Amino acid sequence: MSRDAARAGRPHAQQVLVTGCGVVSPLGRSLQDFDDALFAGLSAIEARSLALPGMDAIDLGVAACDFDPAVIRSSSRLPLDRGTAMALAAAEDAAEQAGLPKAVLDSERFGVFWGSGIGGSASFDAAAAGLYGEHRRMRPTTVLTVMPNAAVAEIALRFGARGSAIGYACACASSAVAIGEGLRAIRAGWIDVALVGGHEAMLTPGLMSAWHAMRVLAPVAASQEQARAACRPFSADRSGFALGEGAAAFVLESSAHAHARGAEADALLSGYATNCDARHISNPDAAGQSRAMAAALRDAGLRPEDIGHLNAHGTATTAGDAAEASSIEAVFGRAVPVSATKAIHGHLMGAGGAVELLATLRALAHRRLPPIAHLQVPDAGFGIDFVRGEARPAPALRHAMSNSFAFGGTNAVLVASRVD
Amino acid sequence: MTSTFDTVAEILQKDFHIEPAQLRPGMSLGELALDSLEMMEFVFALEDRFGQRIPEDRLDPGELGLSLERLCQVIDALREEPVKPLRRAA
Repeated sequence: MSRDAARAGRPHAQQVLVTGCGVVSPLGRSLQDFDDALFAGLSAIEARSLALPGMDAIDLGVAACDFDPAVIRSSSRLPLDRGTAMALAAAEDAAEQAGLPKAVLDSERFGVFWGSGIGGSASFDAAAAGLYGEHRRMRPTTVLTVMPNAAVAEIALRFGARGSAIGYACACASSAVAIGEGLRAIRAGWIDVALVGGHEAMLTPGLMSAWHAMRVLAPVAASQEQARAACRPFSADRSGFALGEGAAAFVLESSAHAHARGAEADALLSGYATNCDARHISNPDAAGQSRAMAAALRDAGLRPEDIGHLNAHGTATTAGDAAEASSIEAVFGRAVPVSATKAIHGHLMGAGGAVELLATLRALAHRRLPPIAHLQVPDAGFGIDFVRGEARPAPALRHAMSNSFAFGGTNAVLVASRVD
Repeated sequence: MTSTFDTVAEILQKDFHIEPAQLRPGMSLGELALDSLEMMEFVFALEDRFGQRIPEDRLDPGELGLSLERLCQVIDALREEPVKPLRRAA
């Protein structure tokens, strides 16, 4: 018996509450805007044209945030990368909601765990374009704005978190892993409070053309109407994803710490597992995904039938959705209703796990399941229960799962539960 | 106040979040409380904005006693000299 299996059903010594959340997303920055789009299945994806010397002109779908990084002030007073600014904004909102600014914290028991696939990609793309194209030299602060842990460092600096400040880079699973590792650090007793989440802001010419070259993006005609429905997870006619940007942050807190300071929470992070397919650099592996979901269930002390909602990774690529439909079926059969929110907010890469955990938490809070937008005809080969059309009421919902599966083979699965 | 001073103030506001109301021409660079990295970034920003390389003997980034007024005079003097433009500097 594995150690995981031995632990099944045994409660962790320390429950970990979600006492605050914040988001900068293509669906909006307020939870109200986020909910409105999420439950109505309203897509923020738009067509964008890109033409650069040396490449064919392309049209692609992007889900951008209505966000001005200049309104965010870094504690370091360095120029902020667009993604780092989003990270700080989300972290500030999460800390505000949790009441952290006023709380008396032991700074050495307060950590930051943050994910990003590439880090300061907007800054590096701009700096490189300036150097090669316009012969402008690099600035003294380029390294500090580009480094993958730039956002981690700014968040730790802003909130005086001295327990730890660790960045996680595992492509599309980055922020899910960061959140899970924060959970583990609190459970293990290393810290009491963690600011966790992730960001990604790579809607730059260099990164967009790199993604386009990989042939994983949904083809988009210049019409905005067509672009909005470009990403169709689990659909028979799916054709890939749209690039998104944004950040989401959560305050995780041991129940003892939260209760001692009178903090309220309506959800707890109840389970997490991560593993690696170790089979192929980019092709997903259903067996690895199933193992990760099963391990997350054991970590949460739950059975498959306890999960009332699953927010799938759902990238709308041919191979990705086929593997995930198969892995979900292997663990749950048709028993779990499945959403896939990339259809409306795009693929936020390193921030995807965090934004999709937020969608999962909103479903738990409202006991409503977000529909998979634009899903008219599901792929006939998929034997799972898709939430289609309108949001589905789920009055008995208590536990929900969010999947993140990454290039490189990293799988990360989070389980969240209602407190009541 | 000169337009050079206004431009310097604009850089300090935009890049370093120092409000123009806090600035006086007689204020020293040290009083801006920029650390050594920020001071380098500030000099780069000045050079990029004015299209001039500021020689170290005119403005040592470590020379924190220099006033903003004197800094503007250095920049104005450089702009009047037949100095090579920044992009062609060796």
